[in-house]
Amino acid sequence: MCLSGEDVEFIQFFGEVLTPINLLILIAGTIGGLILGATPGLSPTMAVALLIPFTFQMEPASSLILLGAVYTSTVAGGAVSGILVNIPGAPANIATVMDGHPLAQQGRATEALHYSFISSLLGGLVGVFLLIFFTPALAQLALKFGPAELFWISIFGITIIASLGGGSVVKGLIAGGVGLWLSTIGYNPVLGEERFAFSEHLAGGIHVIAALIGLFAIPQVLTLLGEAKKTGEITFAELRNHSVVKSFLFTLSRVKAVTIGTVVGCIVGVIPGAGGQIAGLVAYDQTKKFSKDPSKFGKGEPDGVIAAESANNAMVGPSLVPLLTLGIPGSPTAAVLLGGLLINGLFPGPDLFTVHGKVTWTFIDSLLLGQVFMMIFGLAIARYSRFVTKIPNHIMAASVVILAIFGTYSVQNNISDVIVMLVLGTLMYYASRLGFSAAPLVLGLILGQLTETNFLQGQMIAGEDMIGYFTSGTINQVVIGLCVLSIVYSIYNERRQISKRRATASEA
Amino acid sequence: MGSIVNDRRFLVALLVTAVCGLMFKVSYFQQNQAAYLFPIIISSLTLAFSITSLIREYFDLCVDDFKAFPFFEQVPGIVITIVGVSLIELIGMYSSSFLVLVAITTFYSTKGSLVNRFIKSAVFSFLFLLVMYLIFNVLLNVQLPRGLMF
Repeated sequence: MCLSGEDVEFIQFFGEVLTPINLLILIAGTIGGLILGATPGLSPTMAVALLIPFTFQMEPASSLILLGAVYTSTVAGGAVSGILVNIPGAPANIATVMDGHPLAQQGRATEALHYSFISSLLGGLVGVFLLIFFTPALAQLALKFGPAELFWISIFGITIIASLGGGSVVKGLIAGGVGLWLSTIGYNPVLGEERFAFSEHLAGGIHVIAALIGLFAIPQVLTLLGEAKKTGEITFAELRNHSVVKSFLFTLSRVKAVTIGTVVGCIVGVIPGAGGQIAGLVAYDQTKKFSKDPSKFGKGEPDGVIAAESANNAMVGPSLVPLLTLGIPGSPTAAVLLGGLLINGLFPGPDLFTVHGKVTWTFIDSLLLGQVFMMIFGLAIARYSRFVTKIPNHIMAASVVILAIFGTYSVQNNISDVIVMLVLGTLMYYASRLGFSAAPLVLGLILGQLTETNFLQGQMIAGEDMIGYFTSGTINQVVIGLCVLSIVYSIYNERRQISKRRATASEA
Repeated sequence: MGSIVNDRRFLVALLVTAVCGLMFKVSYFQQNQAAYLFPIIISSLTLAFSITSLIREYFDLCVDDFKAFPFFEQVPGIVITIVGVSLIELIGMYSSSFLVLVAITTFYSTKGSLVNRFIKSAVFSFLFLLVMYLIFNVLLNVQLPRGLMF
C-alpha cells in the first residue's frame, strides 16, 4: 500500500502537540480524565461538558487537546472502579465489569487493570488511525452537500441518536424535536426577529454550553443526592504486584479478543449515536460466541476484559469521523465535543482539514499520543485509584453542582445561563426517569441553528418547489432513506421487546 | 389500560402531549409567520410524535421504561441550590457557593454528630472554593460576581 502526501499530513503537526504547553495540557487532561473516569457517577460526557468553560481562554488547538484527552482517558479510566469495586465508571465499561470484577475477586485485580489499559491502547490506536485516514476523504464528500443535504444530515443525526439511544424511539424523536425547538429560542438566523423570549433569562436564546452542562451534570447530581444517604460498605479488591511486560505479552497473544473488540469498536464508533456502551457489550458478546469455552465468561475470563476495553476505546476515534466531516456525532460525548468545536469557531466539513488544518491535525495527533499516555498513566495510577472510589456521593454531588454553576456563569458572565442550566438539568433528570434520553435533545439543541439556517437557505433557493428541492438528488434520497430505516428498525426492535415482555408475563 | 403502571405512563404521555401542544401553539399563533416557519414545522412534528406516543400508551404498545426516583431525598439539595443561586448577585459567587457546599455536605452526610459534620463540611468547602478561586480568578481571569461579601 502506498501512502500519499495527504495521508501522512498528520505527521507534520506532531510538533504542535509536543510544544510544552500542549504537552502539559495533554498530560493533565489524561491524568484528570483517568481520575474522573475512575470516579463512579462521573460520566465521560459530563466530564467533557463541565470542562468546556475552562477552555474558553485557551487556543483552539489546546482546548481541543484537553477535551480529546479527557474523552479518551475517562472511557479507559471507567474500567478501574468497575474492576476494583464492581461499579463501572461509565456506561462504556459495563461489559468490562462482567469479567473484570470476577478477576479481581480471584486476587488478579492488577492483572485485570493491566489488560484493560493495554487493550484500550491497542483498540484506541487503531481507532485514531481510522480517523486519520478516513476523515479527510469523507470531508471532501461533504463539499458536494448543499443546504438541503446538510439539513437532512442534521435530521439524520438526530433521528439516529433518537433511535439507537435505547428505549422508545418515539420518546427519542420527541426529545430531538424539543431540542430543535429550544434552539429556536432567541433570534431567527436569517430574519433576525426575536422569538420565544418569554422571560428575560431567555433573551438571546439558550447557550449551548449552559444547556450541555445542565443536561449532563445536573441529572448526575440528583442521582448522587438520591443515593447519598444510602450506607453500604464498598469491598475493594486487593492489588497484588504483577509484571506489566507479562500482561503486555499476554494481551498481544489474545489476538481474537483484541481483533473482535477493535473491529466492533470501530464499526460502532462510525455509526452515529451508538456510543461506547454498545461497542463494549457487542464486542463482549461476539468474543464470547467465538470463544472455544464460552462458559468461562462471567467468571473472570481475561478475554472479556480485553474485548470490551479494546472496543470502547477503539470507538473514540471513529466516533469523530462523522462528527468532523458531517457534524453528526458518533457518541453522546462526541455530541458535547461538537459544542466545543463550534464554540471555537470550527464547523465540521472540509474546512476543518484545509482552513483549520493545523488545529484539526494537532487535535487528532494529540488523540494518538493521548492513547499512549492513557496507558502509561493508567497503569501508574491505577493502584492509587481506591481514593476516588471512596469519595462519598454527597461530596461529589456538591462539588459537581458548584463546578456546573461556576462553569456556566463563566461562559457569558450571566446569571441567566445558570438558571437555564439548572432548570433544564432538573427537568432532564425527571424526564430521563420517565424514559427520555438527553442525547437527542442535546443534539437537537446543538444542531438546531445550523439545521434552521440550512432549511431557510434551501427555502430561498427552492422558491415555489420546496418539496422537490429537499427530496431530489441521490444524497438527499439516501439520507432520507437512512432516517426512515433507522426509525423503522427501532420500532421493529421495540416491538420485539414488547412481544418478549408479554411472552414472559404470560409464562409467569 | 388498567394497571396503575399503565395509567401512570398514560398520564405522562398526556402531559408530554400537552407540553408539545403548547410549543405548537406559541409557534403557530404569531404575527410574522415567516420568522416562525422552522419552529412551526418542528413543533408540529413533535406534537405528532407525542400524540403517537399517547395512542401507543393507551393501547399498551410501549416498553415500560420508567424508573423510580427518590424525590423527597433530592428536594433538600434542590432547595439549597435554588437559594444559593438566588443569593449569588447579592452576597457574591464564593459566599453563596460556600453556603451551598456546607449545607449540602452537612445535610447529606450520615457519619458523626451534626457539629462534627458541619466542621468537616466547612473545611472541605473552604479548600474546594480556594481551588476554584485559583482556577477561575487567578488562572482563567474570569470575573465572578462579588456582591456584598465575596
